[in-house]
Amino acid sequence: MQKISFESLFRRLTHRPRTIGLMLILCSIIASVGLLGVPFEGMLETMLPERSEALKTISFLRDSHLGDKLAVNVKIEPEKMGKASVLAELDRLADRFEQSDMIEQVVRFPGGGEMVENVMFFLDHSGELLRKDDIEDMHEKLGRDEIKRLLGRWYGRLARPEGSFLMQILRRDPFDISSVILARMEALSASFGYRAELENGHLFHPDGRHAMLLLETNVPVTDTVGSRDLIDFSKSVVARLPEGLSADLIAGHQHSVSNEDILRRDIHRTVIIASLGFLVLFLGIFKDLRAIILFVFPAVSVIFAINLSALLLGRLSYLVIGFGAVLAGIAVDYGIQVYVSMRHNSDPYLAVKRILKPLVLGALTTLSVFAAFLASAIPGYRQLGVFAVISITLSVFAAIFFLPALLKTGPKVSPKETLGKRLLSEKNHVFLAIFFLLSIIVAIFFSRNLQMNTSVTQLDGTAEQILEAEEDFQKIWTKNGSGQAVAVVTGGSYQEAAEKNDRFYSVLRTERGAQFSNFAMLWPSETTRKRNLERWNNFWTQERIKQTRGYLNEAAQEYGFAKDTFEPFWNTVKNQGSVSPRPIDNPVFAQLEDRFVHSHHGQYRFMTFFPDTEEAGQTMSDRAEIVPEIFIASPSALGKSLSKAISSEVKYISAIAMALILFIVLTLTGSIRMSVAALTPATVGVLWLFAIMAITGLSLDIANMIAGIVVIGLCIDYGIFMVHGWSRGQSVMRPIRRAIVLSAISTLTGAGVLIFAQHPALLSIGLTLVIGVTAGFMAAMLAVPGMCVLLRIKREEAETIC
Amino acid sequence: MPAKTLNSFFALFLFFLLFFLLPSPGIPEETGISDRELLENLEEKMADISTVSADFRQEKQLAVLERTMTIKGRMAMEIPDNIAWHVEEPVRYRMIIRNSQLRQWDEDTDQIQTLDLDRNPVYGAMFQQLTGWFSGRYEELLEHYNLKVESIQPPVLVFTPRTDTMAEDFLTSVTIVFGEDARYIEKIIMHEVNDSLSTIYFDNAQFDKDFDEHVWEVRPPH
Repeated sequence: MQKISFESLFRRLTHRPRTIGLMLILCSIIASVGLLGVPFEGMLETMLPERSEALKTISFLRDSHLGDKLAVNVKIEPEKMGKASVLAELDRLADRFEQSDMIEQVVRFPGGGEMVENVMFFLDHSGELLRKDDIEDMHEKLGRDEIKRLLGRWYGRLARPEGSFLMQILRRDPFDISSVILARMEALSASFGYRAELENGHLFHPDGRHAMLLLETNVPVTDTVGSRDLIDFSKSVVARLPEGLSADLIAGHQHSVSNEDILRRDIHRTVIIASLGFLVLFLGIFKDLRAIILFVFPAVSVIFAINLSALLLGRLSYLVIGFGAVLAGIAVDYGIQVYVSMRHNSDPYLAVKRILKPLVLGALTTLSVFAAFLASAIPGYRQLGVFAVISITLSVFAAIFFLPALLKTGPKVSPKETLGKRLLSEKNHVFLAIFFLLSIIVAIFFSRNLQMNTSVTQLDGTAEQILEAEEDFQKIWTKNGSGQAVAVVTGGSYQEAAEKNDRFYSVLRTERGAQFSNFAMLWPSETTRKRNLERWNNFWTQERIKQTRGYLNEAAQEYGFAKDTFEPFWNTVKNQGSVSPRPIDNPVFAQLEDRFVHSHHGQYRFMTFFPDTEEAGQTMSDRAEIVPEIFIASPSALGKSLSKAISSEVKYISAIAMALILFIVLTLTGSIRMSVAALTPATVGVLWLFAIMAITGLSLDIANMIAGIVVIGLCIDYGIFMVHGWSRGQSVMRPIRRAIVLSAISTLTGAGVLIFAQHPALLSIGLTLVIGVTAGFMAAMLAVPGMCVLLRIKREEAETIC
Repeated sequence: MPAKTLNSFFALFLFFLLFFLLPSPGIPEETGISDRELLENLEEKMADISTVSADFRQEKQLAVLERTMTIKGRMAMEIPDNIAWHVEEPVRYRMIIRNSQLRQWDEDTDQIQTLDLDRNPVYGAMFQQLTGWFSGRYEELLEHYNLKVESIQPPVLVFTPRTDTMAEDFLTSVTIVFGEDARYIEKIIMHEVNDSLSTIYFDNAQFDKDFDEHVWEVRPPH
């Protein structure tokens, strides 16, 4: 079998420009059509480390709170609409929502009289709900004198304006046992943290100008298509509200839809601006229409890579796709190197051969940076790694084998003496290198002040209008300082989780002054309720019933109470034979349980809410250690855990990238001194980036840390080419410099367009790349030659690189 | 018992009490006027009154008591929103609503309870309605109740809560009976859903007189 050499392969391919052109067109069409079927995602979780506390907290908060709920903040103009009409309109609004299959139900609250009956249920089951200490307290209320005093007080209360209404309570609860249960219900209700009042089964704000409708939906926040349908439907429903009423929608679904819209818009915008930028750049500089092909190959490579990545990974994040313009800017560099070399050499093979090794070396270092992302625990970083590796590999291959076939070699460019060239004259080399070395020290000094922004809002590009509506909602409905954290107990069954929750609650109760609300305060596990009931029955012996009845009748006679007044209470005492099943039809119970107990993937989670302060969080963590498997989700602690997780992730990726880069550079150059010189632009790029960010008040965040690592990979390319140029003398250095200038401009065009993005993550990535690449480029052009002199890199020695 | 539910009931009671205790300016003899016109007529002519006070006697027939409970006391009101409700028998009790604050005291506990009306939507709504009444916004009342005029002279008005209103949970009907001269309310009869009946008689009504400051003290002087 005949051995195919690089030269024979190259020459065979370059002699088939039409075939390559047709293939290019075909690939473009296939890749573009393929884009229509690529599943994209805009979820925040993609950009958080797997198994991290931050991801657990974010996922939990999304699943547990408003994940499956949609709140409608109805604004009322009382001067235009009376309360009765408002109530009727709210009912109509609820009915309209319920007509959709996407709405499971509108959360309805019991009205006044109904509410009393629902609350009375708990009183009727006080035997199983009262704890040991409650029974001990009750003992003190049952003496003759205490009962007489108690009934006297009741008589006085009946004389009050609201007296007749108190009758049914008196009959069922003369000893005020309910006050204990009601206090616990009130504590649980307070944990909702909303300033809402019930009126005719509707939630109203005390200001009378706002009402809230809560809807349960079967559309998960992660379903962007479903979310869009849900939001469109909801908007059409609230649009039908009459004059005097208006409404804002508050739902996680809006974030999904808005993020997708903004990212899509950003991607379209940046692709168009970048394309125009590349065209102007190439046509303006090369004055050759064929230079357009330089951009076509990377563009097709990026589109192709999106298809392949989606095939490999299943789906791709919009944030990762937003990086496409940057990748095109990076990938076009290889074509530029080939094109410039071809303009200085009439034989395409020789032109490519002359720059083949530095080109491959540069590509390998860039690939190694993105390959390092494959080892990341952050799914979004891994997606970026796959996407970039495919894009760059295809672009390099196309630049070497396909591009020369479609390009003609042009006339040699005649060099002109410019300020730049004077600056780059050999006598200034050492001075410039020393300047940059000193600048590294200064940059390290300033970089110490670089701040890290761990807010996840950096990844959320939700439209301002939606965020304002949410802020408005929070201001109106949330009580001051009601930020809450939650401790979660999980069990495989309701009973198992409830028993664990009981244990946790019993531990928390021993903590003096601890503020928390736990469902076991009102409704403990069946096991505990059985124990409570046994205690209740043991307390109410026949003898005690007889004695207490006697005292009660004695006092009742004195105040003129009817004989059978307290029979409902005695029935309650007698009829508590067994514990009741969960009263899921009782709206009061259902609302509280919905708040405190969640079913998730076949598991049950019991929540304990507590103030989201450092002190309370510490107390809760200490207590949680006693009861195993408790997860604490604290929004205020999220920043810290996120910072920790992302920092260690970035360190890990950086270490892998650096190790790969050093290995490749050292292996292919075979010289430590050349490697040091080649690494100078990357070092300057990153350190200047950090220093400039620190000085201008920019901070490192989840998004731009990726860009920081990419800066290293890009700047190393410039370093490698410059060292290569240095080693080959002025005739080689000149086109290489020209190519590096063009590469940097194209990369900056690709990255710079992200500054036009609305999404904070893309904007942040764009800024970081522009600063870092500019610094690295300057170092490559100005410092590397001097570094070569200082490191005594011989031109002959450097020949080995090629 | 949930405080909100009690508050709702209490608010309704006060609403009717205050709404109808005010004097009627006298109803025209013509019988051709509509219910709404009747209310409008009342509204128009009551607008000039600044204060009202009256003795009251309330007879409560409660299912839990073998005998009728009789409550005696005096009420005072500064229009539009300051009210004093003093009970002398059977147990001394005071309720003062002033400057958007409700305070109550009873002899038995000798404790004062305070409630901020601005933070309580039910009371807030009630006072908003009351203000509406005095400033001529009768429409608001008729949004919550159906009105039946049993007699024009003297006026006897029967209010029944509309379906799906808060009042429906507590009240069957409220009947307002004016005196022969139609100058002021003679009695209010409240039928409640729990078969209780409460009748409040008013006597010795005085209008536009300045009150002693003690009227507004929630704990009575010894």
